[in-house]
Amino acid sequence: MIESPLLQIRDLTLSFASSHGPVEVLHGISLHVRRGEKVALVGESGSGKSVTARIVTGLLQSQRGTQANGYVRYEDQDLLKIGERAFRALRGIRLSMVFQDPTSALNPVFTIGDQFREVLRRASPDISIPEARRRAADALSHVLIHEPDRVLDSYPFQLSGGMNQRVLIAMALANRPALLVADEPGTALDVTVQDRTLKLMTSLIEQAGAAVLFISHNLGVVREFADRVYVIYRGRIVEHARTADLFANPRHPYTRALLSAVPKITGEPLPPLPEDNAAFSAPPVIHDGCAEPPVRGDIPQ
Amino acid sequence: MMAPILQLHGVGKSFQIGEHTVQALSSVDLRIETGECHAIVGESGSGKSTLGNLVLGIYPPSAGEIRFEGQLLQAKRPLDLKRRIQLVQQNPLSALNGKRSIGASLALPLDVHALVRSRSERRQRISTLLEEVGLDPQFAERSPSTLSGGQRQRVAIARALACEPDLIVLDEPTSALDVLVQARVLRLLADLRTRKRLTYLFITHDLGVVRALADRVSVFRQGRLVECDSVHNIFADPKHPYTAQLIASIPVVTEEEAALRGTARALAAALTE
Repeated sequence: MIESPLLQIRDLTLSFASSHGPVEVLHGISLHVRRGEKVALVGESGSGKSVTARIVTGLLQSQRGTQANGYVRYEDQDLLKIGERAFRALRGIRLSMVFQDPTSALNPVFTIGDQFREVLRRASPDISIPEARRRAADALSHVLIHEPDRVLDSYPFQLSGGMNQRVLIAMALANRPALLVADEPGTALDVTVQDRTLKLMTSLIEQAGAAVLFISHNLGVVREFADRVYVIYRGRIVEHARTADLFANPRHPYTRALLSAVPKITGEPLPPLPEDNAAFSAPPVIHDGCAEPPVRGDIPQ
Repeated sequence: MMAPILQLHGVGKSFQIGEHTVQALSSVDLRIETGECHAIVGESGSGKSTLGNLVLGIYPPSAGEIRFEGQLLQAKRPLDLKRRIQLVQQNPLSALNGKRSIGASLALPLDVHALVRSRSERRQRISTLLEEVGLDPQFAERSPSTLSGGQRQRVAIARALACEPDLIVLDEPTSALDVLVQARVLRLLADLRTRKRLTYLFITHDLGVVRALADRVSVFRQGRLVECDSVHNIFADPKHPYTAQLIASIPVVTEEEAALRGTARALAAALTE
């Protein structure tokens, strides 16, 4: 029997309260991530990709006016049911995240060393200060930071964006999580730095055997990074394929439009893109071998 | 021979920050021909936006001179020169006054430069400008907050066009936009350039976008111009290792692009040695 997925989302809906009544932003999305797999969720702004990441990391459920329904299982826990306390036991330990803007994700009034110790304490509450420092320095050397001691004594604003992003990746992987949720991890970086950071992240994730849910708007980055891709448009998954299949043979009108709209360095002219997007609402295209695995146990109604 | 629309001779710019002097641009020589789209490419800190600001007269250069159609271009310049050099910025939300209707935002340059003589002419001109950028004339009544990012950027372009400029500085005009919207705005910019015989100084970090719009490219790194060539040569045969490295770092979506990038990667390694 095939091992059940590490993360499984089935028919997830999400709505936010507004003065005009609830606004539905996810209309029943399903996706899964297996152990050690790199899965991308790609879409434009407002597609619902980041709110999906925030549900998986438990940052939305407790907010007032947020209504999430469906099935979101991580390892043995239903992430829509467990409370904030249970989430705290997961976050940063079994499940961690990397965000888009590395500098605002770090606290400006503490040194990197202090913040790193906090991360290590989540998994090992009794860790001593010298032991934490040794492990932090070791983790930083894995993200190619050559002077870990100087970096540990620095404040985030004294480091470059690329350096801060590497620190965050080191922190996210420090407690050996099974799943890393990466929300646009290279977007705020220069292209040469982004390229290096993503390559480094890939090799570290592979070494650690972690799985990744990778949220991005950048199709090129997704092509480079992911094993499988879900394309999301206005709160619905429109196409799901292995990465090579998706780029060789995109079948949903929305995916095709997206790919044709990316300016190519080979100089193909940009096609005219109609403002009328009726075709984008076509039914989802699921490539061969990419059906969602069965949900274990009962699906909560 | 006619003087080029823009010429930079030994242009440098330094900023005093506390006790430190930051050299943002050093001895830049550059020639922008009338009617071309000239891309200024670089990563953060390369000085590309400083260059745009110098051309716009936001501050004077610390060294060298800038000439516009052969005439010395000072930071303090007559109104008519200001009119002829316009700007479209990266973030269309902060570029538009949220308290003004779109129509009022477009009316301001028309009034400042006395380009319309009557109310009806002004109204007519605003409608035409909106149509030129692919928006319904009724947008004039709306406020920027009710527009999408792409629509706002179209309004920002219309506002630049209102001045009937010769040169437009495009500072990352599409980098805040989604890819479908970006493609439409890029096509609009290409179309307007031909129709209105505009010259673009196109500042960007995105080489894919450069390929789609530019004729020539100048690559900047740490305030210095490292390579300037036609867009074809820059991609087919980069001479500077940094240019090759930039091309080699671009995330791509097709096999053909990946092949081109592979060549650039090999070249970057060979040139660095």
